[in-house]
Amino acid sequence: MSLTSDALLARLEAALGAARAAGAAEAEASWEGTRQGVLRFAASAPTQAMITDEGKLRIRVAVAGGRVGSALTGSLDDAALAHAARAAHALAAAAPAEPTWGGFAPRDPALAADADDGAAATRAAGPAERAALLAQMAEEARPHGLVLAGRLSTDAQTTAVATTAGARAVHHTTEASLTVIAHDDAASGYAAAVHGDLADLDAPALARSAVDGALRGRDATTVAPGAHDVLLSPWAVSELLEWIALASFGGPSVLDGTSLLAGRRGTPVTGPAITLVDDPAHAHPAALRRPFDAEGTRRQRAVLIDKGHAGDPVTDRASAARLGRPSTGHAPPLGEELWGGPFPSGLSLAAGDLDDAALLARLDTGLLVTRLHYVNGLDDPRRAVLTGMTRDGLLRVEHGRVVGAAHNLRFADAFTAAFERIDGVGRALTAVATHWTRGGRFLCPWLIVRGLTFTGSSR
Amino acid sequence: MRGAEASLDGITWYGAAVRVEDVVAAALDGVRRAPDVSYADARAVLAERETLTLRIEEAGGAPRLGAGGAERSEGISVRVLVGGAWGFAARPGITAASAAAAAADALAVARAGRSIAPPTLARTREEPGVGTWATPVVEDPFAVPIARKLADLGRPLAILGADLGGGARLLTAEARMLWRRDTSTFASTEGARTHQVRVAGGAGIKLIVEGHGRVVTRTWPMDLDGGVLGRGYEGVATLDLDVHAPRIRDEALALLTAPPCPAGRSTLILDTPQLALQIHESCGHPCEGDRALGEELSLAGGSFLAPDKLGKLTYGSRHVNLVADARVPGAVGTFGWDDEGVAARRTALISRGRFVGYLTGRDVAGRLGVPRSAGCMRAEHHARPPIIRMTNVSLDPDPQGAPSLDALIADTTDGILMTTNRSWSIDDLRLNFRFGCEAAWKIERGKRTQLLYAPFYTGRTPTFWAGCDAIAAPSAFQTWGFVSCGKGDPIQLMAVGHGCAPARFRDVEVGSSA
Repeated sequence: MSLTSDALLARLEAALGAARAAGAAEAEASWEGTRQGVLRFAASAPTQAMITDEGKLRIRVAVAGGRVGSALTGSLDDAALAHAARAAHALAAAAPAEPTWGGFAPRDPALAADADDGAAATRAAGPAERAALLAQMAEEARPHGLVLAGRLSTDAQTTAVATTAGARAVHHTTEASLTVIAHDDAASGYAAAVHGDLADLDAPALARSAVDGALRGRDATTVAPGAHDVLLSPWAVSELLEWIALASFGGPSVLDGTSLLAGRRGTPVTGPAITLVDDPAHAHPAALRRPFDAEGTRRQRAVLIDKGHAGDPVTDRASAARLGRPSTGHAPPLGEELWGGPFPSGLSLAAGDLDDAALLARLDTGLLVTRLHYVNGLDDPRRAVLTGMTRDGLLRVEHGRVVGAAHNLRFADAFTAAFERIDGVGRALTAVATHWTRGGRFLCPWLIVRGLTFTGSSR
Repeated sequence: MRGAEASLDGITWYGAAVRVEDVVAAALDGVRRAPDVSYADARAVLAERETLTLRIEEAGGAPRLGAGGAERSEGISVRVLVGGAWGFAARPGITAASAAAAAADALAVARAGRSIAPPTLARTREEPGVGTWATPVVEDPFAVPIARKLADLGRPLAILGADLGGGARLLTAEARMLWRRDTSTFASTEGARTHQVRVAGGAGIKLIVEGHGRVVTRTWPMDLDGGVLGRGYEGVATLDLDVHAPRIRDEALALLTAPPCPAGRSTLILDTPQLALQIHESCGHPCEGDRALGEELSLAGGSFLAPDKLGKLTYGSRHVNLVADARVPGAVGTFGWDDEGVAARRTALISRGRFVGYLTGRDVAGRLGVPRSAGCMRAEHHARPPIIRMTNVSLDPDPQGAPSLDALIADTTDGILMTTNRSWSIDDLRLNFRFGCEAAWKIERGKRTQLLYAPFYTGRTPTFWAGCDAIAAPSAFQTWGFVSCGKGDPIQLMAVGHGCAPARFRDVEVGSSA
């Protein structure tokens, strides 16, 4: 829904009023709205094309004893707000007492009340612009007998929070993202990018990159499972880190003891090459610029792992209170609370000093992993045991040169240990949209890991 | 009690009586007169959700409320076909204005795509759906007081959250309940006109304990969604949470010192919660026609069940019969019509081990050259386009099979029994899989013996199903459901059902992630 900041804040005030009318002394109203344009394609032709306009408003109320109830509504009219407020109050009234309850977010003088870092080109892009970009990309693939599959989207997003404790904040932003696979029956290549500004997204260049990957992936041979040195792309690194973050980097997982950080603060949990930070002021031009979370808490810099040593998890207000510290401003997006809880949506892995040629030279002989598929990290989060498959380009490297392609392999390894075997980090960071978590954007370099365990093949 | 037929005229939306049919019709009026539009449909949806979580984080401690709450959203979407290009658009609210805006956007999107789309789309001809349908519900879960729901969760939680003793530390005990109701009105330019109310929900319990250097998770009937059924509140009692709570507590404690599952090749028996996941990942998804045509490559991947394999490929042993059926009573993938107005139906996917059918909608069926849609076009809510989804994909029991899990074990000389999924991973063609489970037991001379820690099994789909040499009888058949099956881009979460009886697989690679 396209609303001005003033109009949106007025509806949030109405939501707080509805909460008071339902009997709550304390309340929070939080909004996420997105106008999204999407073009999905396969065989270089559109398969799904859409414009959706949607939003969610969450009302949370607190009653005596720190009892908190929550309700979401997709509508901003008075009747919908009243219904949501009553539902939230009914849950709060029936809920057990919460002795650590610390109240809703207060006003934060350091937080801009109304921020807009969106890009005009992204907002203005319509279905014709998206179709034109697909036509340009298809021309990159056609001469090689390849076709394209993927997704191009342009989003305009607004988040806003108001609380009875005084918080008021609105943030407007934009996102343009593209994933593209070039393929024929024998091979595939992959490229992806995410930016705030559509003008920064060079779709034909990304298509060429995917085409190059597909051409390199032809005539694949079988590589035996076992321990292989690997050069992981930023896309592969991001998916590994996303699973580790889901399982271990939120406050609740430290509280319940399942996190790899639990009880290990300041002690080594990986090798020294790993420094993981969620920094809202990161200098990368495509870094996530989300200034506050769904509770209206300013997003703070959080150090999850510092040169291999365990740091502190990211938190929302509830998990922070139980850990006895302030919230880091990482409450999950509305409706995502059940899956992962607090999440470092702007996670970055510290860059190294190697350029592309140096990375290949350092690897010497091994496998270049373009992308991973269906990773899962639930088996043993304390050791970050992850398994998954390679896809869209597993390349054989010998003496620092790509010499051919390999059929996809399954890996299964404990990454707390595997990250002790890092032997090279790329100097460039690539922004990668998170796969499993809505709205996240990680910054990742290429990474050399020695002796990664592969257990099976797709052949 | 509400039956399978229900009149939904004059649905009440936020207390204001609105003629939803009129709004949907107005949305179609906005596009049907455009000369380049060959087909259009419109769908209004009221989606209601409720999730309650109670947790205990210290043995003997007081429960606290976890994540969850109520959710309610409504909106309308319009889908338009111009030449071979689809346009889809959605707006919040069920009003004439939102309908007109969605129609205009959908038309603009379709026209923009026409120049880069095929000139036409082959689509199957189907009888336009007309009528009403509702999930049979004895007790409306949205009318049950929250206090009663919390009490129903609190009883098994108290069992899980009691003092454990024996050097074990309770990390988390959890009981969760979820409910969903989707009220939808659909119409198309071909004359389809349906009203549906689909209800699903259920509950589950979970325990995480620490001791002897291990952290162990044990759940019933499964983690994440729990046991989800296409029933009303009466379904909760059938899950027997109070009965299973002491069992999973005892198993969790025993797993703290159990030996790791030995590595090697073994006969494997899967109980029904794990077999449901196996069916989902290695049969349901690869049978999706859009995957087979490469239309999901960018996210979910493709399928080894390529179109030239239809009717020819040996998927499994002669014991293996898998069907998709959207008419199974009490299952979460059951409905009257799919989200393009095609009546619910049963489609054979694997027949006596041979691959014979796809999950399809009208477009994909047309492109695959099969005569009719399998009625699988489903959307998560109003703001997402319908895509091909599983309905209830189930493994037929063997009428001559063992009457129970215990009887199947008794029929097995040596092997391993695994239960309850812990992790899942499968490649982009749905061939190479690896599934971790919460627990396993040795089977020795027809008896369940040693408990085993952190088991997994891995294999290739056709090889695994070719090794299926026994499926238990209908008396052991059970239908489970997942409400968080992710597919599409933007991602859509869908409720899908899977029925099965315990089954046995020969020569499977097993091991432990410990």
